[in-house]
This record gives sequence, structure tokens and C-alpha cells, in this order.
Amino acid sequence: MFERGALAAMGTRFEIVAAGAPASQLRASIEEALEEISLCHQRWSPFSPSSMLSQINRSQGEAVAVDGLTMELLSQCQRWHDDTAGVFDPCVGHLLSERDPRRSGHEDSGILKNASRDSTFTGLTNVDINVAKNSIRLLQPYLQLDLGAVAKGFAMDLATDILRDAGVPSAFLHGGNSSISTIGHPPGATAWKVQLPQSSEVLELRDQSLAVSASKGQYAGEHLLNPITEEWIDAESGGYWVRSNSAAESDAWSTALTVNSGFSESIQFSMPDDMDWGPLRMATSSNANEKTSKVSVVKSDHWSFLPTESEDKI
Amino acid sequence: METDRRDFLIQGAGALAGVALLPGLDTFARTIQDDYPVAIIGTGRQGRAVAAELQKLGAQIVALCDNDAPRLRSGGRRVKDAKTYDDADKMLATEKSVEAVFICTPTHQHRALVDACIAAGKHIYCEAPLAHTVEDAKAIASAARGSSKVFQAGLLARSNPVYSLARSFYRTEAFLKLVSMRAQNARKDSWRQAASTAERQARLDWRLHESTSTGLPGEWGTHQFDVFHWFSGKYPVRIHGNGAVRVWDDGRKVADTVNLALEFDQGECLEYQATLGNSFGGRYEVLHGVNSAFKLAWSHGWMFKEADAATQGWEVYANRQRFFNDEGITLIADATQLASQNKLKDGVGLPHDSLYYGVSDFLTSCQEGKAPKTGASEGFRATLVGIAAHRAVVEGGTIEISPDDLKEA
Repeated sequence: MFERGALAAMGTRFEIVAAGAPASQLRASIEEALEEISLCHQRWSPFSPSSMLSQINRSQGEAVAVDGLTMELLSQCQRWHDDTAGVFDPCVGHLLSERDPRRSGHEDSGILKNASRDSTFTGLTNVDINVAKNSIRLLQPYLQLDLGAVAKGFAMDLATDILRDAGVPSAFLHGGNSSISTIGHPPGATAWKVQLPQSSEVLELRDQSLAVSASKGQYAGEHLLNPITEEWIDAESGGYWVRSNSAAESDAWSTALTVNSGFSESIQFSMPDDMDWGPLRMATSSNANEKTSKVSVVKSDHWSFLPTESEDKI
Repeated sequence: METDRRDFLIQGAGALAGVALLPGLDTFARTIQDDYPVAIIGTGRQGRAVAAELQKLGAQIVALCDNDAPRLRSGGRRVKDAKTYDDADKMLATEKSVEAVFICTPTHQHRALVDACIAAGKHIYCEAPLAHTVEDAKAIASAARGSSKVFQAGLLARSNPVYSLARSFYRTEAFLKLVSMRAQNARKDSWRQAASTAERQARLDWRLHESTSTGLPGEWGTHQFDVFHWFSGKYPVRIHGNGAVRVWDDGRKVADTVNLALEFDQGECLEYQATLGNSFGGRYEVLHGVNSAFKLAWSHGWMFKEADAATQGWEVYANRQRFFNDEGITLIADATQLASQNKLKDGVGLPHDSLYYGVSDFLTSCQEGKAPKTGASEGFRATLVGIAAHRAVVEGGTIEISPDDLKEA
């Protein structure tokens, strides 16, 4: 009944299950959707020196012509940045590089962090996003972009569009169990049901997306940055889920809500009317490896195909 | 600079270490005229990939054309300012400002589109293989020869900086004499296209139809065979082939796994394997020489020296790497400059996809009136070899290729 495919990309595991069409059609649709995700990884991986993102981060003030999807994603980032009063900010790549030397441009940031830095760090206002010229220019020499908060969701939106265009009536896509996109409903049920982490709360998804973001990282400790103060968000400060019509939107807003919860004085911004959200229940365990931002899918008699907790340790 | 195993894996260098051959990144700065007006016919995966490289190069994609509505919509999303057409003739008649057209449609549609573009006075970049039949390939080559405009076949090795550098070593004592050749392309993929209706599925699955497909040897092999044509300056004289549907037993007749032996005139042999059933090893070509071997994998290339080969002057700049049981050295041209910038690691792989360099060369040829690196003749001969290799698989036997077969007219 179900066809299933998976892909390792963007530092996580993407998985698609689909139903409601001939197996060969589902298989071909899943392959094309996963290939699109793979292309997104190639564009926006901070670990690959040849990615579009790395080329931007190495540009040192020069305008870089980019492909249409990179421009679309960065334009959306600009909107999220504005709508969250700067709480959502992809201009933290140079700070992440200081913790993770595998990131491209690390050598450059090592050189440039000694340069005088603008004391009024204001995120995306330091990036010239020129839609007419299809180019990106970093206006501060030390600045580096990181799209980790939204690239996953954006890729899943593209993959979902491919499945829809291919006539797939029923599908569930997830990236690392923390970003989810759905088409229709599973056979024999009215909606895809998702259980939130550390909770018995179940959310229903039907042609909707869900993202969860938590201040405690997947494997250890703090992993989110306060873009205003450039300090790491306390790992115990909390997390949020967001349900909307777009996985990228859910990713961006859940990240913004979680980052904002780590501020000593929260910044005021309005959530869009067409999405709902809520806080995550935080684990009380002191186990640093406990995964707090993983959702699990509620099984039914008709569809029990997603990884169980034990399988999810791949 | 030390490069550890993890870095090596992250950079996708594959399972072998050796001497990585790479030109300096700065050497390949492009000087394409901004806003050069182009159009793309065919907005499937390849057409969209071409669009992305054109955008990076600063060209102006004026128009997109595809008779498949979802694909045209997908292309339009990526190139927001482009006008979209579902008919190529209408696009060519309307978009007079377009200087060059990229033909990225299914192979069997190339001939009619090449004719239309030549009639409209456009430069043409045509994906390879050029055609699904020898007759169409000859017609395309003939039409291109009769045009005053640029015609480039989409065989990317000849524009790839890694391959160019390797070829420069091929012609020296560092390689010495060709011993043998081997290549593979391995993916796990049904080769079916995602489609919402049976009619659309049948149209998009042209690679699985015997009447329109050149199979794995044509669709994939053509690109890889041309590497050996280009390096050796030779074309095979006979091809032995066999193949089968090993994995995707869904009623298809086109083999999903093929094995080929392409023989050349002095006993050289290229062994080639392609499959849709297993992705191990991916896509690469290997040339064995008396003094060294090259492994070329599109974004990366390595040279493996024989112990008795003379030490090269450039080895002093190379990084030493250990990977499994092999220790090799990673060389990047302009290594001194890159090292001074602490960018040696950045230089291990090409900064762009191979397609970027092919598209860039084409635009340069169009703007400067220069002959393309891969013209219609090279495209025709590679296509002919691909078609012959496919025939060898279909017939499960041997196909002879005479010098006359390689003549365009």
C-alpha cells in the first residue's frame, strides 16, 4: 500500500512515505522529490565548499549571482526577519563556524573575526538581497549565512510540490522527525497524527506542515543563537511547535519562537493568522543526549510504517 | 595543511586517495556579459539545472518553454521574470531578442528543435546524446555545420577544469602510455518520471520506451565515452555488450544494468558498466597509464603514481592523505597561492558543477564568436558511439564501427 524512500542530507535523514497510486508512480514521485531535497543540500550545505551558500560566505563583500531558489529562500528569510523584529536571523554562520570547524569559510572567519566588527549587529540588514539582479552581497566582511533553520522545511515544500504535481494523493514527509509536511490523509484515517515530544498531545495534519524547535540540541546542549546578543540560548529555556501550510514557514516561526523564549526580555512580534503553535513540554531528564525536538507519528491499524523510537537512532 | 578522514568524506572525495588534480579556483573567473538573453526549451531536471547555472553566470533567461504544464510551472518558479511558452515555434517567433537557446528536451525531440532554432538564427546548446538515431544525429550535425551560429553539444568533460588539467598530464611522461580504461555509472533509481496521469507518464518515460531510448549506454555512456575520445583522440572500432533488467522488473524492455567493452584500434579497451540497481561507486572514469592512473569523478580527480615513476616538481605542494590502506597526495594547481590564503581545503573539489563550465564556455563562444570546445562533430561521434553501444546491449553481441560510420555526411 505504501511506498517509501529515504535520503541522508542536511545533516539529517529525510523520509517520504506515499500511498494512493500505483507503486511505480509512487516510487518515481518519491525519487524525484528526494532528488530535489538532495539538490537543496548541494545548494545550501555549510559543509560543502562548492555549495551556493559557501560561495556566498566566501565572497567577502562581492556580489554573488545566485540561482532562483536561493534568491526565493533568502527573500523569504528577509520577510521572516522583518516580521519577527530580527529574532529570526540566518546571519549567524560565522558564530556557528567558531564552534564547528567543518563549516566552510571557517578559515575566513578565523581571519576576519579579528577585524573590527560593527557593534550594531543587525542581521539581514547587513545583506543586500538584490532580486532584480539575482545577486546577494554580504555588507560586513565577517558575516556568514547559515540556512539550517529553514533549508530543511523549504526543501520539503519543494518535494511536496513535486508529489502533488505527480498526482500523489497521500504522503507524509519528514526531515529528522522535526520538520513535517503532509498531503491528504493516510488510507483509512482522516488525518496524519503526530505526537509531540515528551507529551501525549497529538496534532492532526492534513495538507499541512509542522515543525518543532527546541533550545536543547539533537545530540548535546545548546545549539541556538541569540542573533541580537550573539550568545547561545540556554538549552533548558524551552521549545515550540508551529503548524502551518508550509514546512519552511513552520521551521522559521518555530525557530523564532524558541529563540525568543531564550531572551531575558522577549521581543514582541505577531504570529501570522493562518498558523497555530504552542510550547513544547521540556524533558526533565539530565541526559544530554535525549532528543527533545523529535516528534513521533501515532500509528494506527492502517499505517504503521514510520520509525519507532528505537529505529529513530539511525 | 592536514586533511583528516572526516573532511575527506565531507568533501565527497570517494573511496580512493591520490593526487587530486585541480586548477586554482581563481583561474576560472568568468567574464560573461551580464544580461545576455537566452531561452531554455525543456524545463525538466536538466533544463532547471541549466537555468540555475545561467543565473549564477548572470545571463538573462528571457523565456522558458515546455509542453508539460507542471514542469513549465516548476521552471517558472525558479526564473520568475521569464516568459513561459508551451510551444517552441511560438516562443522563437515571439522572443526575437533571444541570442541563444538551450535544448534540454528528451533526446528524440532534439532534431526538430535544432532545425527550428537554426531557422530562427539562434546559437544552440543541445544536450547529449544529440539524437536517438544515427539518421537524426547526422541531420543535426549537418544542420549545425550549415549554420553561422554556435552549436555546442552538451558533453561536459571537455569544459571541465579538472578534466582539462588531467588531460594535460595525460600527454606527458607523468602518464606516459595508455594501458587500459574503465568507467562506471551507478545509481539506484527506477528511471521513471513522476506523473499524474497515464498519458503523462508514458510521455515522460521516454527513456524506457524502445522506440525513443538509447538506454544507459546512450543517455549516460555517451558523456563518459567522450572522456576517452577526448583524451586518446580515438573512437572505438567495435563494441561488445550485454545487459538485462536486473532490478526494475516492471514490464520495461530497456536494460537497467549493462556491461560493455569498447575496443580501440591498437588493442586498448574501455570496460564500462552502468546500472540503476545499486549506487556504489557512483560515476567515474579511470585511465591506466604506464606511469600513473587517473580517476576522474567530475568534481574531483586524482592521479595515482606508480612507484617507479619520476617525482614531479609539483608534488612538493601536495597534501598527504591516508585513506583506508592508501596514502596519497592531494595536489591543487596554484597550491602555493591557495596555501597562503589558507584555502587549500576549499580547492579540493570544483567550486561549481560541471554544467556551469559547459554553459559558461558556450556563452563565451556565443559572445566572442569562438568555436565551442564541444561542437557538432564531437557531439555526433559521441552520439554514434552511444547508439552503437546501446545496439550492442539490445542485440547482446558485437557492433563494428568503421571510419565511414563516424563521418557526418
